[in-house]
Amino acid sequence: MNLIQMSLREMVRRRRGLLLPLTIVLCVVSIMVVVWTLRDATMQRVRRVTAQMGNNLLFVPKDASVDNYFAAIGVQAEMPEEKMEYLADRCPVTRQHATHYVAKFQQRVKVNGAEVVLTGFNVLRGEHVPGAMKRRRSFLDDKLDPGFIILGSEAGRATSLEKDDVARIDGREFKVKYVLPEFGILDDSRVWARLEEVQEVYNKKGVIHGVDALGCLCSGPYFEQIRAEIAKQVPDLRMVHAQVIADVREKSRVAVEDVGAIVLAIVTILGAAAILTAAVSEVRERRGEIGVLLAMGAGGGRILLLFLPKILIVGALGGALGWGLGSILAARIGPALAGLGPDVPVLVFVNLLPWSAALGVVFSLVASSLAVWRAARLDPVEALREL
Amino acid sequence: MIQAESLCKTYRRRTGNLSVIEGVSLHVKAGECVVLLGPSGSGKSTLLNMLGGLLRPFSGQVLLDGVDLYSLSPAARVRLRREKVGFVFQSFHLVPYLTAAENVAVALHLRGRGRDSSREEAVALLTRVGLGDRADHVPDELSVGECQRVALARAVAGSPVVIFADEPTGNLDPDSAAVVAKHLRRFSKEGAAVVVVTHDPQLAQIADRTLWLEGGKVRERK
Repeated sequence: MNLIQMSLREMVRRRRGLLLPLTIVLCVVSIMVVVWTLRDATMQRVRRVTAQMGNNLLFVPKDASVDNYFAAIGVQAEMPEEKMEYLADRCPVTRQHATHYVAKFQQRVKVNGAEVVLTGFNVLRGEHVPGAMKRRRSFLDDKLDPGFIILGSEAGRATSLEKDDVARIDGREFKVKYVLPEFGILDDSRVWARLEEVQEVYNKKGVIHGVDALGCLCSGPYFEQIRAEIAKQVPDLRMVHAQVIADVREKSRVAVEDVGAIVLAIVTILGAAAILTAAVSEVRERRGEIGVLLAMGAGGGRILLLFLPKILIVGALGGALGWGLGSILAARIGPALAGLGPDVPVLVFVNLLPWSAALGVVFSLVASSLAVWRAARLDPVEALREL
Repeated sequence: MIQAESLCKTYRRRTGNLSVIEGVSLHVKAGECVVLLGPSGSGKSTLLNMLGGLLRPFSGQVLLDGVDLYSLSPAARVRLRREKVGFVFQSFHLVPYLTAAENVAVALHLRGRGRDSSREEAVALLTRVGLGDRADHVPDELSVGECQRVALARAVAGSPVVIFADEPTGNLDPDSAAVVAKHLRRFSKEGAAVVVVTHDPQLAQIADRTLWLEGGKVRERK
C-alpha cells in the first residue's frame, strides 16, 4: 500500500472529511461562475443600452461642416453614395470595426407649413449586427416601399400628419407609413424616405451627405489607432466619433469589472481562509499518522503524497460542481440580482467547465499549501507527543 | 548494533535550562533486549528518541551499525531510519482508516516492498503475532491488545535491525502485556536489537539487561 493509495483509502472510508473542503471549493467556484456569467450579461445589457443611444460614427466629406450636417442647414458637402459600400464591404478597417451603415441625404423642407428635415436613407448592414441593434433600429431596417415616409415624433406633431395621411414634399406626394415615438434626439424632427426617392426629388442621384455607422464602442489608445488606420484608408472622408457613447460603455465595463473584481477578491480571500483552516484542522487531526509515517522513515515528499490526491480531487470535483451550481444560480437569480431585464439572456458558459475544475484545483492547492507544507515539515517527536 | 556515546540533552524552559540526559553512554548488541526503567520525567522517552534518530542530542553521538546518525543529513537519517529502525508506541498510532494488513503494508511499502508482496508479507507478519484472522479489520474493530500486536507487526515489517518500544504495554491489561512482551523477546532472539522503555517491572523480566535512568544518568541494574 503506497501513500497515494492510503490517501484514496482515507477519502473513501472517511467521506465526511471530504464534505467541508468540497463545500468550500464548490461555493467559491460557484460564486466566481455567477460573477463571470452576470458580468457577461451585464455587459450585454450595456451594449444594448449604448446601441440605443444611436450610431457613434459619422463619415462626412473631409471639407464638410459637421454643424451644417447635424442641423441639416446651409451648404452641405456631398459625397458619392458608393462610399458607403466601400466602407461597409471593402475598407479592411471599417469592415472589421464598424457595422450598420446608414447613408443619408438630407434637406430642410416645409411640410404642411412646418420646417422638418427630409432624410433619404439607405441601410447597408455590415456583417456583425447584433440582434439587439436590429431590434432597436427596426424602423431603419423596415422595407420602406416607394412613395412612403416615416415621421419622427416632432415632425408628426409639427406637420399634424398621421398614419396614412398624404404629404406633398417639393412637388412629390408621399403617404405616411407611421409616426415614430419620441426618442429625444434630432431624429425626432426628421421625415424619413427612401434614399433614391429623395435624391430624385432634388436631382442628386448617387449623392449623399454622410454615412452613419455603429463602430466599436471603444475608446482610448486603441480607438485612436483605429482612427489613424481609417484616415489612411479613406483620406477624402472625415470621421466624427461620438466619444460620449464609447465613454458610457467603457465606464460601465470598468464599473462592472471593478465590482466583479471586488466580489471575487473577497470570495477568494474568505474561501482561501476557510480552506486553510480546514486543512490545518485536518493536519492537526492526522498528526498521529504523520508522526508515525515520519518515524518509520517517510520523508516530507511522501507526506505531501498523503494530501495531494485529496486536494486534487476536492479541487476538480468542487470546481466542476461549482460550475454547475454557479450556472444554475446565475440563470435563476442572476437577473434579479444584477437588475437585468427579461430581454437580456443569462448564458450558460459550457466552456467555463474545464476552467472551473482547473480553478478549483489551483485554489485548493494554493489555499491548503501552507498547512500541507507544515505537515511535511513536522517534527515526528512533536507530532507524536501532542497526542 | 546501537551505541550511544556521552549523550546530553537539555531543554530550554522559561525558568532556565533543564538538563534531562547527562552524558549517557550505552551499547546494545544485535539479538539483545535491553529494558530502560526510570521514574516519570526521567528522560526515558527522550533517550529512546535520540537513539532512534528522531531527536538530535545536545552533544554526544549515536552509532547505528557503525554510522553516526546525527552526522548524516536529515534525508540520509530518514533513509537510515526507514531501513533499519522499527518503533512501537504506547498508544499504537495505527492509521484508523486502514485495516491491520494495510497498516503493516504501509511500513513494508516505505521499506521498498512491492504492492502484491507487501499484502502477503503483511498478512504473514500479522500471523506471526497471532492476528492472521484479523488482517482485514480496522483498529476500531480490534481490542487494545490486538492493536498493539498490529503495531508490533508494523515495527518488524521489513526486518529492521533495531526496534524501539516506548511503553508498549502502558495501555494493556496484564495478559495482553505478557503477549506483547513475549513477541518483543522473540524479535530480539531472531537477531534484532530491542530497546524497551517502560514503567512495567514485569516487562523488565524479558530483558537481557535492565538499565535505570535517573537524574539524567544511566546505570546498570541487576
